[in-house]
Amino acid sequence: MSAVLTLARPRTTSDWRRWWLVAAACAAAAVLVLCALRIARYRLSDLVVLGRQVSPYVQDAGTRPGVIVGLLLCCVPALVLLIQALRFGSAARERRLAGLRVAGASQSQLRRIAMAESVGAGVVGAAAGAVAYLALATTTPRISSDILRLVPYPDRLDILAVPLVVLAVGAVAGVCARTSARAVIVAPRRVAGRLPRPLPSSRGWASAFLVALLAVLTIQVLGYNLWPHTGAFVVIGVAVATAFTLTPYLGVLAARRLMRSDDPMRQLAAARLRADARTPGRVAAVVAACGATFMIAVVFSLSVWRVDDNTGGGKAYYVTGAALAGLGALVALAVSVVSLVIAASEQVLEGRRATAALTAFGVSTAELTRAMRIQLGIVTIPCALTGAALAASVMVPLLRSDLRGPLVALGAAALGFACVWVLSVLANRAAVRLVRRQLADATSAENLRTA
Amino acid sequence: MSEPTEQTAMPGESVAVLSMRDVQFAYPRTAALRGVNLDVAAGEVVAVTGRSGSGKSTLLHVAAGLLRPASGTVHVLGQEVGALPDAAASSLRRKHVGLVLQHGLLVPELSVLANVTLPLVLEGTQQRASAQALAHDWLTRLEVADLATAFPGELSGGQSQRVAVARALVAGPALVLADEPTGSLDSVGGERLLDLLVSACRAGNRALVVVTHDNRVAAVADREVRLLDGTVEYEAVLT
Repeated sequence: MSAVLTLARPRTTSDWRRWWLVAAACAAAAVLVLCALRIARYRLSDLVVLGRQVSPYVQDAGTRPGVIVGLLLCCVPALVLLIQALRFGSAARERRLAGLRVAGASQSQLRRIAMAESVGAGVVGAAAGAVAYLALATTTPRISSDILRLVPYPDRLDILAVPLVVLAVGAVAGVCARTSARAVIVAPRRVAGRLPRPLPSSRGWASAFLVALLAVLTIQVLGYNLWPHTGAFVVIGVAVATAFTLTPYLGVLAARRLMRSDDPMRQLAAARLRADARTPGRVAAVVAACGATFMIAVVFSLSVWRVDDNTGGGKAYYVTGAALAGLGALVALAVSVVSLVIAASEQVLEGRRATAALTAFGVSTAELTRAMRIQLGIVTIPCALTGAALAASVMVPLLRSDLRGPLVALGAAALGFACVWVLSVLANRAAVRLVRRQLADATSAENLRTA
Repeated sequence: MSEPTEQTAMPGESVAVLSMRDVQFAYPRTAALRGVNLDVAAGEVVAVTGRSGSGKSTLLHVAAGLLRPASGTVHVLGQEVGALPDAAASSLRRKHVGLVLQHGLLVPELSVLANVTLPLVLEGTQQRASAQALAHDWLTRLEVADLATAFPGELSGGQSQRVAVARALVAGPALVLADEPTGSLDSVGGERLLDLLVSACRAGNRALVVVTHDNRVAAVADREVRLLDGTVEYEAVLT
């Protein structure tokens, strides 16, 4: 075991970057889970802390589960980032793991090394997240306005909850590392590498989740009055699972479509997309949820704005709730962009010899950037718009009376759609901008001599 | 999974260090080995030659247990490698098989000394100090002791290969498998490395199988096995 721990220690800059990314993802997840647990433990006795009340969203038993589920859903982008971080520096790691294999390491020893690397980073990250949670929970009651005071003051159970969550998040990081560590092969035709995981293996799961989603939706529509909250959360859970298993296939479909183009840059984007359809697929699932959330926030805010407010402060309550949901979606979008950038940077680094060769053959950096823009946007932007369209198809009929008239309803949907389109295009541009430096480095003629 | 089988020797007959029987292996679109038989005795130096794509490197990887044969058996010191679970096959490789690949495949993040101690560290049976002393001894024999604290990225091709040879020999294996060990070296460097490898194996009564294009290797070997399209074209005892 000591040998495994010694070999699991980060050594290079790339190792440390990976370590920090895993730690950051785990820190974010720990903060969110601890906040959700604290809100779940909220009692009326917590109502007045330091002479101030907590947010009405937490006080109200009707909205509290929504806040908890919202926080837990925000863990999904953190999980996507964690999985992406585990693949960081994969080319160098593959060489290292192949070297260990030649020296006599068994596949299980290699998996244990991967696990030990991540558990350490995960526990440290989660501990930092716990400190952040305690700081958040103790300072927000003092400084924020009533409506934004979402996290109640820490209670005695936090003494138990904090170490448990830190260990659990560390364990999740270890399990993710162990499961994502593929068998290392050393063979004449593939000097060093890991066995690729074929994409179609999860097609059965995607179909099963899709059927389950339709079944759950039908049951929810028919029996809404019987189990309004639980049913909605089950629908959300199954929808997330469906999106995550289905979206990688959208990547493959998009790649096939691009491949038919005569434009070589579109073909290049298609080839890269086919080489790794899982990452844009996972990100597209998060982005679709972000699109849906933005649409809901926009349409809901407009409907509230149109309703006569005789209650004093009622509009602020609803609009702030929608704005908080939009803000959460914005953070999730930013985390997704980081995941996408990590994946694209890795691909550029691994394919730097081919990129340098393309430059040598006369392909300009602008053309290569265009290929990257297509690769990063071809799945994510349509998914964001699809998420928005699905949300609009549910929300607009539901709030039609509040919106007062079909034209206003359509206008609200159009505004939501425009917001989602602008945000997804901006996110795409930001991702391309972040990868541009690695792309420029990859075009260097020195890379023609890289192995 | 079938139980590992043990080869039994008849009275007066020595068990081969490496024994391959009717070994077949195929890549997705190509059959690389088609019924290869090979026996290598202790202290014997065997050169495996043949054109590119004839299956030489695949034969070596199968013999090392890095690739599992589609059919046939591979015995190392009487243990059937293909039937062993990965952990047991890896342990067998650490203790009894030394592996030298064309580009060395050293771990870039570890120092030369740490790379050479790896098989002992992974096995976990030796104290760190004694493992390092043993590794240092092999680095001295291979004339690269002054590079013990260097990292693979700082080494030349010849130095990397010497370190790889030291790593292959440190655990005192009965069988050394080398895939084009002189392939990336100039003639002088290649000859010196070959001398060191062959003399170390002969001195320790180790079996050595060298996959090569290099005629100089065939010149120092006891036997040449020539492959053609995944089959043994001929075997010749060299004098």
